[in-house]
Amino acid sequence: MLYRENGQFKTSYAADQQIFPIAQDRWAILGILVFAFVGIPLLGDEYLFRAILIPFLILSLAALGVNILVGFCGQITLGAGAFMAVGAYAAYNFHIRIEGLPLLVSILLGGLTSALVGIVFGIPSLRVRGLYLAVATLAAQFFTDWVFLRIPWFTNNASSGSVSVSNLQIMGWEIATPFDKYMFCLVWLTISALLAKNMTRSAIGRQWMAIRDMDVAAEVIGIRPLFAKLSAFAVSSFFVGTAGALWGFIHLSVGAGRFLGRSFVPVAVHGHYRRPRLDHGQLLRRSLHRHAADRVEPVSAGDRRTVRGHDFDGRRVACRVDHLRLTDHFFPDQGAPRYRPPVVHRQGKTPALAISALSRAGEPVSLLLELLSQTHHYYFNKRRH
Amino acid sequence: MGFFIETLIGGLMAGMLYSLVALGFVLIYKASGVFNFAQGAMLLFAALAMARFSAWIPEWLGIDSLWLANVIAFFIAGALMYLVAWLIERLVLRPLVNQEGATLLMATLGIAYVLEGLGTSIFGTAIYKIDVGMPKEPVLILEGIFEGGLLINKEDFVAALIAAVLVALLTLFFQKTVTGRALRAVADDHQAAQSIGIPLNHIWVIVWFVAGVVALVAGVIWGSKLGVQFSLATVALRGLPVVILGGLTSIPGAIIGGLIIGVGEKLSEVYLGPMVGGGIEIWFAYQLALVFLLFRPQGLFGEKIIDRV
Repeated sequence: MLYRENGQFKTSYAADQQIFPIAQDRWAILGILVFAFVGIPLLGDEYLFRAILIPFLILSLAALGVNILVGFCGQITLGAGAFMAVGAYAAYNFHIRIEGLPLLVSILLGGLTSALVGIVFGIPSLRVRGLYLAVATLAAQFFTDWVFLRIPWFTNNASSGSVSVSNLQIMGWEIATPFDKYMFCLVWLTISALLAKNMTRSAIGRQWMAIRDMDVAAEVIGIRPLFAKLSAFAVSSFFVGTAGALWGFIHLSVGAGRFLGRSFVPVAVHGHYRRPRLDHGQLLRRSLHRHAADRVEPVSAGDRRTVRGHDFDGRRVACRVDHLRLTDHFFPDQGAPRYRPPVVHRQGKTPALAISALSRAGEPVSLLLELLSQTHHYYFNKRRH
Repeated sequence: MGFFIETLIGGLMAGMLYSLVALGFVLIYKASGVFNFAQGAMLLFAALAMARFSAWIPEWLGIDSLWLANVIAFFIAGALMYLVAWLIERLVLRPLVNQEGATLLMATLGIAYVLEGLGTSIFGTAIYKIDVGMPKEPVLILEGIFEGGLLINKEDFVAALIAAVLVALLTLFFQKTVTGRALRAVADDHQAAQSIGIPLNHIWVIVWFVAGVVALVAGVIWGSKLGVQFSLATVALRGLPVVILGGLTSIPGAIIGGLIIGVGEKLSEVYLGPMVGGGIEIWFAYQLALVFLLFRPQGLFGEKIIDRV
């Protein structure tokens, strides 16, 4: 981390709930957007647009999709190439088989088809996990490869299995030059990223993250794995599918083999792993075995308190805990807590989420609080070294 | 009936070859918890080295004997795999100690790219052949029992034998030798093994080297079957369903998984394939593994996954 949130106080709920609560984030994103929309068109030449920037944008979109599934929901998948192919072929078929279907609608329908297929291939995730799931998702890869090569209907009987669409336009705007294509992809990516960002900080995103951090614990606190996992598969496949459709329409023609390289999977996963994150399951297990129960103790009803700590990104977490008293060595490093506006469970941060949910459920609360303290200790000790 | 048994035997022998590839995955996963995506690249690298050195050595040393040249080439390739193992431990594993499984998985993807690129730039990209004197002609057996007899591919048979011997050797190595015991200790618990003085770094080099030797043997067998070329790296994709079917942590699992996948693949291709247009082998293997996983999420012989909250 190059910068921290220190000193940036929020005095209203609106300020605290905004998309980028840290000023540096806000300005960086704004700067990148301005550069992409204004700077690059001034600097770039045709070759740069066609050969580098357009595939870059489209693969970023695919990476966004994979990031939701792998990074936020913790379901390791190697099948993204398959969903790109599904999206591309589906969009292509909608486009040529339905007369006068607008380009935008075709791409969206391609994404939706990909989402449906994603749900089907996501079903094993309810039973199979981790590396086993990763390998199992390769089934999607090989299966779609086979389908598109063997069933000529999908490729409109093109002998090479490769298809392309010409004359693209949206509401009279002809997308012909590389610059137009670049702008189209950029706008699409920006809107998609905004959608994804908002999704991850809403209820559904918190469910994904809870499943990621420890699915059994998430299930215990009342998150339905069926819904959470399959919705992650659907949303992820939707983005990946639209990326495939863009790739087919805007960048190159569609050929099944093109998507089956695993090459962009690492891109997508690295995209996620740039976010520092702790293995909650590990922490939880460790705290269970070594320090259970002696640090947090339940007290008489009615004692309402606020727990404070730091979450993964070094931001302060504060949440209200009912019917509990915390012993002093909860946050020994900090001394007396400074006054902060009483922000109740920061969005999307799992410890806070788990506690706020469990403090109503009762029993296992102490464990989860212990988890929070462990997270905090771990984070601090690590940073000091 | 004769045809069915023929397919069955063909499947079993193909299955042995898949288990050879799968073994490499299992060895490394067992000892270091890394799911090694570079296994295919290691296989390619080893096979390339073997093929090139067996062609170069007669030129350099003036040896006529093909047999001797092959043996020397095998040992040079083995030494090269040791170097690769040492480099991987030094440059990749050591800095990434205690990282998450997924991070290490990605790191091995990187290793795969480096090895593929390095291998083809050192040894060239042409298609080479490895000639270790494997018998090529098929034979007919049991002509008295079945009409027309059973057609057996001798090459596959020899390969399956070699695989069986290798597995037996590995089992002996893991069960009976001091190093093998250390390997199992590390596999069980890194910290405990370290605390009783087992040098973790050294053990990892050994594990990757053993996996490299397995890759070399598999590379020689597959290479003499298919020719040594870039697509050899994708042989690993045939091993993946085997690994998850058998369980990531079990050597017998890799063997039995290999046999099940081999048989399932061949039977499905012969009996189901024609109905849907053929070519279903590769995805059928994955679906088959998936069906098994639905009943046993940890594979047939993998360690039971227990979750505690």
